[in-house]
Amino acid sequence: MKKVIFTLFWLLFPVILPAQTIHWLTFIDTTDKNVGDIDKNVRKVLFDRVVNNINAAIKEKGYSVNILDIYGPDVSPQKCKNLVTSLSPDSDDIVVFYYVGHGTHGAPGGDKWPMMAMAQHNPSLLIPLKWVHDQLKSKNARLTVTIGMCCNSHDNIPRLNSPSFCVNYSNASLTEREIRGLQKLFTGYIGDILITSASPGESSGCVNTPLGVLDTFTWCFLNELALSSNDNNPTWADLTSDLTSSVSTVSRAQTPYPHTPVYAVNVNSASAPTKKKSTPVKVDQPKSQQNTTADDQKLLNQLGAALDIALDREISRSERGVQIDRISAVFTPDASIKVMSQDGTFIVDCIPASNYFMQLIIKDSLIKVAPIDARKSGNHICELKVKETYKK
Amino acid sequence: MSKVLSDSICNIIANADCVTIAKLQIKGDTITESNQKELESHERALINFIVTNPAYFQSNHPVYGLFYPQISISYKHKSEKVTLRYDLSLKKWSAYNSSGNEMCRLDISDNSMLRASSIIFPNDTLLKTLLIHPAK
Repeated sequence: MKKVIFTLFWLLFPVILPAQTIHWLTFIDTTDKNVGDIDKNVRKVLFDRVVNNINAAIKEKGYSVNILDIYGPDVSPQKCKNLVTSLSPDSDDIVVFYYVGHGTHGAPGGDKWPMMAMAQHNPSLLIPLKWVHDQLKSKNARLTVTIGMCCNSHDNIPRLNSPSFCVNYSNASLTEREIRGLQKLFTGYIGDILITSASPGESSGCVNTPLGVLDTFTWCFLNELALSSNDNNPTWADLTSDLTSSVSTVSRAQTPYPHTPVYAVNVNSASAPTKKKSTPVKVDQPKSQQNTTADDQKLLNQLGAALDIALDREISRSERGVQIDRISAVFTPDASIKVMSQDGTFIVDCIPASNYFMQLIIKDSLIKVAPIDARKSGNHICELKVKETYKK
Repeated sequence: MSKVLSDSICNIIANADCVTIAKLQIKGDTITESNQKELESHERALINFIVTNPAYFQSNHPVYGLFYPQISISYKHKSEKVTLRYDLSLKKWSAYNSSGNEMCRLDISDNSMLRASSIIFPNDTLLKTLLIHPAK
């Protein structure tokens, strides 16, 4: 009898199995009086053209997404320290840290990596990039990528120890080759990668691009990532080497701040982890009171994970239906879904939520729906903005 | 120069009774001056030539470095004072009025201020390093 009850329990109440996760820790200083406005554009472009595409590509390999997107007044050394030390990835997880903001090398000498300002100017509070990488690496995730886009110029401060996937004006789309390329880069390697945008003694500058003013490094990074994803066999060694040449060439030709990135790649080729079977997950009711940015991000991450399962063609339609019911439960009856363009500049479509969720079952070319903003009414969502990624 | 700094500020620089230069140290949130010295007439002519170079007033390109100046030059005329601070690594300089408010921040377009500072402070290791190993 106990066995029957146990079996029934597992059949009726599917539990949340820990799927492989890609953790994004992005710290972008959007409030600085000199580069804050540029960084708002950098953040938008980074998510539109790098983060969302990578998430979409590796979703097929069973990866869910945990985004810790820190910007505006939330950026601080303490926040960085707290999130880096508290992150607890599983062994099959991927961790990507990306910082955009001011930085310095400090006094000449020491290792070649810069220290990050994290939206403040007190030299005693600087966060060494190498410390972040060592902390994240020690958590033994499958792949750890740490990127610091900042100056590496010298001063008297003591050193502390411690794609443009083609211009696309509607939804993002990835070709089969691009999906395989991004999957190879992010799930086909085990190890760690540390990159910073400038060599010791150099400053990192900005460049005019078709996407607006961006820091030179991020502009070159998304272009090189696009080129790598189109390779038959992309490698981190080629990507970092090409990125270095590209930043060096572009910064010399187009800016008064020539700089050359520094990188350390320590990865081995490996087969992708076995995809864990996904089961419907519970979606928590949003809180009715004023939420913090972290609450909003948690809600969006949870919706993103639930939408991944609703789109997963490897599980039965009935299970996907259960998931859609669970998602629908947190929306108001008249809620709408606004599908945004890749760059988030305009609304491609506005559909009643109930219709949109039912279409997820039949849209075979849709590979990823990324929630980007939720508007609430009481403890229900009345409007959700999403970005879609299609297989070309 | 007067397009960036007001005429009254330019007047203080042009007619200063006393011009001093100092090295700057940053500790926590405070900047302290050390090795302050009044410029002699030949040093003053050299520094004034560099400070008023039109190329130093032309641009302020965005850059991802912290402004930690190493050199400060102060011009005093009667009760008025203008202070110019130079970050010779980041290649930025700023001007401050008597109240200490920043009036502008601009690009350092060449290494003449670095060379002049190295002549005045020949034993400063950071200035020496910047001169020997300039950013490529």
